[in-house]
Amino acid sequence: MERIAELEKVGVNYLGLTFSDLSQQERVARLILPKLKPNSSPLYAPVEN
Amino acid sequence: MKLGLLLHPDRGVDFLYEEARQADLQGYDSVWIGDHLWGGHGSGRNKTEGPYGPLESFTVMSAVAAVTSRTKLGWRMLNVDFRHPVVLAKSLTTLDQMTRGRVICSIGAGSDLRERKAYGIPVLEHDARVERLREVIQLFKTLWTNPAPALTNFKGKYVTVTDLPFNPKPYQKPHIPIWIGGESDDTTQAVKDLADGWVTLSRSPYGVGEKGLVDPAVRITQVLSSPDWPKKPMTVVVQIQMFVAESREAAVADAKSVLGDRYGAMEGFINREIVGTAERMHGTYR
Repeated sequence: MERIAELEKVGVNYLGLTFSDLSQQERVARLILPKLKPNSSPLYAPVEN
Repeated sequence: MKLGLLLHPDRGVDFLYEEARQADLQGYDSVWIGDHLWGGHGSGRNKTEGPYGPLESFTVMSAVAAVTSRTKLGWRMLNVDFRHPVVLAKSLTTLDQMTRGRVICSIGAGSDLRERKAYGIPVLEHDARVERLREVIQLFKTLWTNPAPALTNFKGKYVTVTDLPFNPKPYQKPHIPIWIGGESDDTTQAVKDLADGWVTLSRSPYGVGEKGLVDPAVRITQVLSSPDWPKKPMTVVVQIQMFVAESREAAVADAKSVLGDRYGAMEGFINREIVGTAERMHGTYR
């Protein structure tokens, strides 16, 4: 998570990823997504109907 | 931090549906697809001859929307000049209504001039393309916040609309979020003036104005620290490669299998891939 913290410090709050196979996608989802703080950085959140 | 995932229509529709379904269940915030009319752009690979050459992106995205229920839907990036601006606004609105507010209008001025020449799409110089992008976004906002029975009248240098009753509005209010891609001075000014998010596209040093080559991380800091950077919350996106496993050795092996000689060779803060375990992920250097 250190690298993600570095990126957040610069002001980045969204990562665009691409994977070569579904197993990489699954590992990031299982190992990283649960550790991300949902409100750690401001995001534009439009009001829905 | 949120994570979005670029999908791969070029790997076939079955693979596309599966990676989209899984991303939806796994908790990725968004899925993205490209918006190109041919496959020769960017990488230099010509995919136009394969069975899964470039597919029209709104058609693909409608299918992706049907196999997902939660994840947002974005493009990397919509080309502003591939479709008539009002038709593009209608397509985005339709998809936003059908998905109950899952659309991101991630859009750029376009950069592949060969693609435009081949398809007979008028080619504009960079500054004119950005100027046109600004007009189209202003038109989108006007249409999306002034639905019929009000009539929209818009007269710009590139876009003119007369007595248009645009209806319905998008599902999202006040409008579909608009994220602009690109790093030039003109483009980042458009981000500051008109957008809700900024998608940085380059991962290599590039030229901005007369300043010579600029590292992407330096450029991000420049733009975000400028006095006219919006005070409202903004989304700031970077493209990055991530290899994660239960052990660092497994993650490194995974990265090397995909990147080959490029593993650890890419310099610069943004360019470094993320490799490691969930606890300790590092940028790599050779």
